[in-house]
Amino acid sequence: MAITTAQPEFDLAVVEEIVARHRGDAAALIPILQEIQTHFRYLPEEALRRVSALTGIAPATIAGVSTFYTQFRHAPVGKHVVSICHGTACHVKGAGLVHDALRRALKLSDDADTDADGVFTLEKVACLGCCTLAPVIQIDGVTYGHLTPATAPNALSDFLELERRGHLAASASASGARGLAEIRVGVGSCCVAGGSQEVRQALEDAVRDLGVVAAVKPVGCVGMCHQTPLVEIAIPGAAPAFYARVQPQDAAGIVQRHFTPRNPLKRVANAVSTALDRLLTDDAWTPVTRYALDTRDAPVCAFLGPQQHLATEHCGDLDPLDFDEYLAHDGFQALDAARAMDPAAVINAVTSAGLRGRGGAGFPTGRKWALVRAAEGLEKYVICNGDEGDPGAFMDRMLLESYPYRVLEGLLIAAHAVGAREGIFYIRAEYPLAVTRIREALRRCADRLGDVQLRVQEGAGAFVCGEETALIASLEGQRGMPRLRPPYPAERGLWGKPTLVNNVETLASLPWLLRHGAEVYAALGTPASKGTKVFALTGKVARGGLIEVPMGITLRQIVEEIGGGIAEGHAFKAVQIGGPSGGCVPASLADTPVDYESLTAAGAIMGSGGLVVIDDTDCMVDLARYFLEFTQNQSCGKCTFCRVGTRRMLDILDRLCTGHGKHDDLERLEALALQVKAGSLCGLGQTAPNPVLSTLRYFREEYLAHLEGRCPAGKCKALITYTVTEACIGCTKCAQVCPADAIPMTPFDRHTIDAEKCTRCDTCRRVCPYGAIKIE
Amino acid sequence: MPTFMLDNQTLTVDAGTTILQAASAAGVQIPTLCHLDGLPAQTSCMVCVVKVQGERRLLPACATAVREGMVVESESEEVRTARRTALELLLGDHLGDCRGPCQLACPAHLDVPNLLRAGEIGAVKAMQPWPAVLGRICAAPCEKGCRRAQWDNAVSIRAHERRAGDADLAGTPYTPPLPALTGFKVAIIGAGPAGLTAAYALRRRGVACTVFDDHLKPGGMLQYGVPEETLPRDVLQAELATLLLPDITLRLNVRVGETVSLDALRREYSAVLIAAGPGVTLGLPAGPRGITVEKHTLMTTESGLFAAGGAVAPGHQAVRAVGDGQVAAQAILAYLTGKPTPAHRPPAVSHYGRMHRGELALLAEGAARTPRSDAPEDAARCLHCDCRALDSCLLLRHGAAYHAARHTWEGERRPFTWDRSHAEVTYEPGKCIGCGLCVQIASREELGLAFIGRGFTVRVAAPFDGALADALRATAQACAEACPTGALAKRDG
Repeated sequence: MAITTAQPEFDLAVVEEIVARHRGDAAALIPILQEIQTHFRYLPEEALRRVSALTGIAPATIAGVSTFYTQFRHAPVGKHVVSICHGTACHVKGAGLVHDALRRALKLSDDADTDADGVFTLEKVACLGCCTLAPVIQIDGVTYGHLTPATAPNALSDFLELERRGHLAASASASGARGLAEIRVGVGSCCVAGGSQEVRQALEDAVRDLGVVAAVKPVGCVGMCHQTPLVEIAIPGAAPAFYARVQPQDAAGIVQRHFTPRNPLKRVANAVSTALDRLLTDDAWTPVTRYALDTRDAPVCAFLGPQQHLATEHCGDLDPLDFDEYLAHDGFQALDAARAMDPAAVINAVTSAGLRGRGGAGFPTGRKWALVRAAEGLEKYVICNGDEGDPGAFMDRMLLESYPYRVLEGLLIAAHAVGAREGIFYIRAEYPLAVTRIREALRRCADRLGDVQLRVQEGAGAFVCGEETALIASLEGQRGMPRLRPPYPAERGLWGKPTLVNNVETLASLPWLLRHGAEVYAALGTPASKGTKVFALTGKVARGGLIEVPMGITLRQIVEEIGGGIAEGHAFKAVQIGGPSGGCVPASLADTPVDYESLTAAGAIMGSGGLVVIDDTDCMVDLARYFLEFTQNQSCGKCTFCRVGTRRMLDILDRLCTGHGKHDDLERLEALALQVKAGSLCGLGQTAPNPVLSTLRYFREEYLAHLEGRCPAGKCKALITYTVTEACIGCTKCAQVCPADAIPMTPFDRHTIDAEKCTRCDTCRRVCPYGAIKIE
Repeated sequence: MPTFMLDNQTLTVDAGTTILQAASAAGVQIPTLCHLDGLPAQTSCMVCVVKVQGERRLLPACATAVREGMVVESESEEVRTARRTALELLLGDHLGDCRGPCQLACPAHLDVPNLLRAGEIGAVKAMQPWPAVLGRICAAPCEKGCRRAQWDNAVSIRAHERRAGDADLAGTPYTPPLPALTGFKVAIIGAGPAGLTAAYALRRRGVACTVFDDHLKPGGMLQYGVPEETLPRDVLQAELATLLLPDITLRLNVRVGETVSLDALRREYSAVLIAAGPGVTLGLPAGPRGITVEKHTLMTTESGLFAAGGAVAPGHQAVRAVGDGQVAAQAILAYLTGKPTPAHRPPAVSHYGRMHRGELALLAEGAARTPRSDAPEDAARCLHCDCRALDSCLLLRHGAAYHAARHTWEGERRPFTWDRSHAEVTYEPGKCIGCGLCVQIASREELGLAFIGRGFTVRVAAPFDGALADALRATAQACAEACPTGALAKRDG
């Protein structure tokens, strides 16, 4: 399809500037490409050739790297990029239907991703990490959450409206906390139901009338749906403020409280109107609720239950970037104490505390440190692995965004313990706020770094880079291909030097551990799994969000006591834990304690902490297919078992979900899954079959039903039909919303659905006030 | 100097030695596709996996260094299954014909594309020692199989075969190199196409043969069944003469069962082959069609007694009898040497399957556009869809050795493309298994080759849509030699 957006003449001077800024360093290839893409919005071939000429990096390397990472685009895109999150939480909440609805709204033909006018380009992204807002899309950095097939197209028009009013630049830059202040209004379905559109209008009026420099930005629901409409004031450098249950008449008061009008005359008028307002309203305006946590998800402290905050210590109290506040809350005490200790003693403490790596595999942290310390060589590296790629997980993002100093402190402690002078935060590019916060934190505490040099590198969109050898390849400016271990990075890592790679949460646990001592830490949890674990609790649970719980807590406690049980009166079916490498634990095993060994025995893994609650409307075959499609997409393509094997597994699952299963498919699927598990080179391939194997183990009857062409959960589109029951009174609501014209307008008569035209978008069932739409 | 166990052998090797190197030095064959001495381990094909005791996973032998006390299994069922699965996964995503459909259609498995390319008589006679005869009377199933027939008309293969045979007879006929006699002696009953083909093939492997026939002249149905105008007898005589190699003794006018007993032959000879044409059973158990034989080994119910050709199933074309003679010779050799009988068909583990019009067009681009004729130029119409790397292909070799079936994990067929723009090599991406060797070798080129994309759809190509000729200026030959399949292959000639 022709894209009508005019591309600017290539000004390759920009490329020269960018390369010069990186001193032509070959290792900086990925940052160089990222900056070029920021400029051109894709990677023009001319620019890549120029990079090769300027840096001496082989064209083959540049072509290989630039096509490996999903962040990089090689063709011009529409004016705005719509990123549709296909994370687990979004998937189970209907991201596919939202995607279809957007495609319909933009009238995209089969292979096109950009509309005919070149305005919007749809892009599927692995996970935006805003799982409690699911399903979520982002348009040029503006987040819309809780979408339905019916509301999704409104996000497009809303965005264009925002652009028309000139607020786009402001809000886009403000989302990175780099410039303008923002007044964020929740536009999730709950907020809209609570009247947030009117509030937004009132806020926009107030901003205009008062001449305030701020952008009113609609954002996804922040998760506290009982407190809608929600308004957040985000001013760079200041603690953000949340206001709950805001009414339109409150708008002016809120704006005045935080912003000074530019125009002196307006200031006078403003004072008068304020006086009037005070006279006219019954009560002086008072904020109802105020949270200091400016993440896009439900704040941790909003949850009750048996939580313990170590990595998330002082949640809700800390301004993420206020270094003095961090110091006042015992910040850097652990670092100072560690630096006063012999490194061996620090390693001992971590070892005896029983801390295990929180990235997934659970390798004892102390032992890893000891290996790096013992490795020969003066030059060593420490890396903070913030390449959180699991769809349905956002622990690392939230820790980096909310506690940048704590993660930093952890990395400095690790550097001291292993004897490293250089450290790198590897953070995925999908987390711009985390990147900004860590960079800013580094700047603000520069004088406390000692002789350790720290920098941030952004990932470029490859799940496999969470694997440490792939991550290192990526840091060296290569394709993120894992290699066989041993040698482990502890012996031969970045640039061949001993390298420690620790996950964000592992590092964030260190300050508490060292301040309270190994014994106190080891007293938490179970004999083999010590301390606490941070989880991203999402899916069909009443209260989703980030939680931190002691090891050994049962899954049932998490779902019921912390999460408030299953939402919408459905039945608790399973917990998907550990993301694409993990598995499903059925409700019947909900009393499984959360520790490394028990979860593995149940067919899941601890993983990095994604915890998606599944109810009876979710199809387990579809879920297995979903995860396999994810890993299959993320496979680096190097080894046979992962590259081809996962693809053949997906072929079988595709068949099952479309009713074309063959009689021996389940046996073949299982056999191949075991082969892929045993024969793959790295952790990605070795664990990719887990979601399939665990669902086959616990939900085999659902697979058998699919073999017979039935989807018991009513999820697999090809296997279901929508019909109207006798409960229908002919209100025409379904007919009005049907995007496919599959429901004729028959007022007062029972409606019918044309199965041929029906796209199974589920919109009719959602709008029917009488529950008369049935899935068979 | 770590010491370790490999399949019950205790080996001591230098520190840093890989399991693959250690195994190779100890004579244990571990199959590899992506390994090349002198290059770092690619660890991509995973066909070299071994089981190391205590490890949950299988490990690639090429990249795993031997450690003291390691216990390694290279031949266990688990390892063999994994290797076969890896090969089957690769085969199921490998698009190409190992052998042309013409060769597969030929009961004698004549290497037609090579006949058309070079016409080297020795190669022809090795498979099919009757080119002048069959070039006249063959029903030419090869032409029905010819892929060019899907495009316009089949190449006139039979005319080329006849020309090759006639050329041979016109000069000094070809005689194959003959190995020293092994001491085995085989009696063959029937001097028709099946029996003489078997005798010719056996003698070429060092087995002396005596051929008995109750007629006065050799040739069987060729002599007594085919009309003179179809097969002039001087041609038959001349070609017959080329088949009668030294140590092939003809005993004409001898009726086995009367003049000489079968039992006597069985006592005197190492093995006996009955190739006497339809209706002959010599008292052996037989079905409605002929003598009952074991399908794979062609052995009758009696040990060392074989039957082939019309005696087993009548109504065959001559070319079928020739093919049967080849199979019987191989089965007898296997019996004599105590080795397993090889497959009847030459190994071919991959097929294009049905090609659509556009793909055929691409294939036809390199072939002559002239209409079909019996002239020598017609050879230029061959599409050469057989694989050029047949002898070097490791996927074929290991696939056959591990009985890997291409259908087990076959997925959606890759599209066929063929880059013939380079002067030295051709590139057929459908055959690429992504091993990474050429990318590595070409990394010293200015442009070189790159992995484009990732995951299942990753492919090897010149960066920035560059031309293959620019990508491989100095390393084309090296890349083609290293390629474990026929993806990057040297051009013909």
